[in-house]
Amino acid sequence: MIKPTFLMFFLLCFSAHSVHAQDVEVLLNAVKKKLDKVNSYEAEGTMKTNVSFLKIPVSSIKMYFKKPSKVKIKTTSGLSFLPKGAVQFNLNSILSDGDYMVIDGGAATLKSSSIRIVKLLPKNESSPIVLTTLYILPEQNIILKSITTTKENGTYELNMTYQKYKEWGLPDQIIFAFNTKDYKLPKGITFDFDDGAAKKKSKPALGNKKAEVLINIKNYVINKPIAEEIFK
Amino acid sequence: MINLLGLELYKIARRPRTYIAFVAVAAIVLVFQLAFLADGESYMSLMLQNVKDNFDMESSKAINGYFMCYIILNTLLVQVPILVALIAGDAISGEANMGTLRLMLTKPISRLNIIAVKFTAAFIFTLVLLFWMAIVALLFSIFLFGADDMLIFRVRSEESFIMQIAKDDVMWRYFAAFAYAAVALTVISSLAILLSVFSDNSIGPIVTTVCIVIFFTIISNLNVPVIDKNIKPFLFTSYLVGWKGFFYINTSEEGQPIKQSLENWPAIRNSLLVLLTHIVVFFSLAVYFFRKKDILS
Amino acid sequence: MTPLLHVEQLNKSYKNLSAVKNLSFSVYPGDVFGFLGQNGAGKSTTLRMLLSLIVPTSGSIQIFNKDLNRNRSYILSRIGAVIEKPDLYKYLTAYQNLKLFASMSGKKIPKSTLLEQLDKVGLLSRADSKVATYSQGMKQRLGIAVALVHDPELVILDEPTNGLDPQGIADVRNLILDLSKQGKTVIVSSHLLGEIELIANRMLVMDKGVKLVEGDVSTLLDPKKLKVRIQTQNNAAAFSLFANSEWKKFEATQQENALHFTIEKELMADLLTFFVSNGVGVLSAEPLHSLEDYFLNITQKTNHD
Repeated sequence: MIKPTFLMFFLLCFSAHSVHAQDVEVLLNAVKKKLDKVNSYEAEGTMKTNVSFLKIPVSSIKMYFKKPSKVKIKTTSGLSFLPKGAVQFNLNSILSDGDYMVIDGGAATLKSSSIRIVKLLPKNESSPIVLTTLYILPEQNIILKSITTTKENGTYELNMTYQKYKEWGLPDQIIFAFNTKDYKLPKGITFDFDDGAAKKKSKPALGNKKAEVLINIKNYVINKPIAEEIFK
Repeated sequence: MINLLGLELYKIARRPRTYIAFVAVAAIVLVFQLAFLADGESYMSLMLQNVKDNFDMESSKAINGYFMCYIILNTLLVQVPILVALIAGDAISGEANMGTLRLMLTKPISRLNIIAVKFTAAFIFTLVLLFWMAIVALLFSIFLFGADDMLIFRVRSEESFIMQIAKDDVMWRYFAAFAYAAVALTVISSLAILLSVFSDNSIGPIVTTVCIVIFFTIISNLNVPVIDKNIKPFLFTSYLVGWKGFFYINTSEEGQPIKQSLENWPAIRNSLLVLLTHIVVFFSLAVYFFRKKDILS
Repeated sequence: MTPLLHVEQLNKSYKNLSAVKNLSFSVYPGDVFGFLGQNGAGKSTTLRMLLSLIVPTSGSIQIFNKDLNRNRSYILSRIGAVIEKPDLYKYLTAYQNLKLFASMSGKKIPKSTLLEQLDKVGLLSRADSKVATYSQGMKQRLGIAVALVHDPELVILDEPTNGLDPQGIADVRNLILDLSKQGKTVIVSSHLLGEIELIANRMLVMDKGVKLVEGDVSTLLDPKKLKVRIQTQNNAAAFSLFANSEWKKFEATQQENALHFTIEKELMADLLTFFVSNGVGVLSAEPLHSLEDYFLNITQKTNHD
């Protein structure tokens, strides 16, 4: 299931009518072109969820993508808590089409690489997205990081690491960070066993309302036809 | 002694009241299972609340046999003490009421033996009842709902969270939990037997046991800090839910559950020791008073 | 002769009540020992102490030459008892009850013996009926079967005739005499003097927790003052026959359905022969001793001494 927030916006309203920063648009197009080579893929991986109120194991997953924007994550066994916004990291869909202004955010350094910051501002007033910031590595035409600020659901952040599938613009690791609401069960409802132990010392560094999902991906099978049923 | 135990079990087996417990357990479990078959999703939605805003979760997979059994035990283990008291509270007093205690004590059997046999019979009854619960609440739930990873919804101090236990890591926890429950319920039965020493009718000790359990449980769950600190540790009912400790899986620094682990084994062990101490004390008192008791019935 | 049972300075007191005070007595092998007293005299308490159902406050109980406190199992395995009404497991059958209690006696008892015992008390045909369906008399007989099934040397019966109909009372009486013939020692309590007089050779009378007398029944009960109740085919004819004979020196009264005589014990048989030989059939003859009279008698005696 895809959360119809900023994703939809990107899907529907991409347009390259930016007034400023011609070179940034060129860069963006280059990134887009690279991603366009991938019509579909299937990949295996693991997903680790780091949320204070979810004590869940690392799960084995399978990821599927099909142009223009279909993404599906499935766990190979057991129960899974799949982050709804995670489908956003499908960069193909972000850049496939759109109606936004492109602003040059200047140059910066990220993980000791020189990168270019590109800001995308939606033109549509009713868009749920306020702003998307992309951190692009210019010489490789890949996106290292994106921050999307929404009107209602806080900020979504993607950090990507590339290795084996760099030419396809497909990351080996994605760290997806977002805001969550407080989780609270009414006390007493569960008759819990109070073992008198102190709270666990290793409180997640992220705090209560931050969630982080780390996905490691391997074995991409690119441009092999994928049945439609998978995305249902 | 073995012979006497056989007789005692024979008596329990011949009494219609014994089967109330089994029917009651099956009925409660069945109601739960039917309710969850019909509308388990809304329960799961309630428990998952706003988690659903950020995460996709297949509720139908979460409502599986393991989860069902946990939910059922949660409720059932509050009521089962009543069923155990029903049998154990009758142990001495029921015989006194019928007049058979008098007859039995004119036979060459020591009073210690009689208490020991009654106690063992009640323990065996408890084991059989728990075995029955394992069949209907666990195995039958697995049959109805399948087996998958298990979710534990938990509140600790001010913190609420969800723990996930891999399905291949669940079964031993249930074995341990049922074993713990056997010890916990034996506290109830030894209390009921102790009370039944003083009475010549079975209603008194049964009702008193149930009242004590209910009263203590209410106090144990008041969540008033003063009581939590000063009174709760001294109530045996606070330790009855210790079986849950076997489902509190330890987590890594980053919050991932560690298979085959327990979050706080020392706490479970201490609770077990507290319960065992209660059993020893109740049993000894029962023996002491029964040996001094004049049989006037 | 060494007593089979010897009680020395037995006391039982509850908070502010002394149920048994300084009681000492002996029962000899083969005795049918009558324990006599009104309700609340302390009979039941004493019998329960003999069976270790009640813990004495002080005193000693020796049975089979052993101390009850230290040899409880040994002693109890040789005793059979029915205390008050015989309460059994109502949801079990007579046979199941008998089997259950037989196995508690510490002896292996074969099925044939169990069935034989049920036959002896006339319950064989109802062996597989639940005790809940039994009448009081049937329960009493089953209780006796339970008490006797392991062939005890000493039988203790507490008010065994309570709540029984005349036939039942007669049955119990015969059973006790039967046990006595088998050489068993029987201790039987009752509040009916006539009952004890008919079956016991020795007796003990208690009142308010204290022993009044103990001894041979024949010596204790003044033979000259045997009261007897006789029912004949024609009471009026029998009475006039009596009043016009040399028997008239003895006291006689005509009651509603019977005649009451006070005569010497050894003349009982002669009196009955007198009626029969004069054509008046005798339906029944039983001693009539009122315990109250007897107590009064003993107390007066005690006062005179």
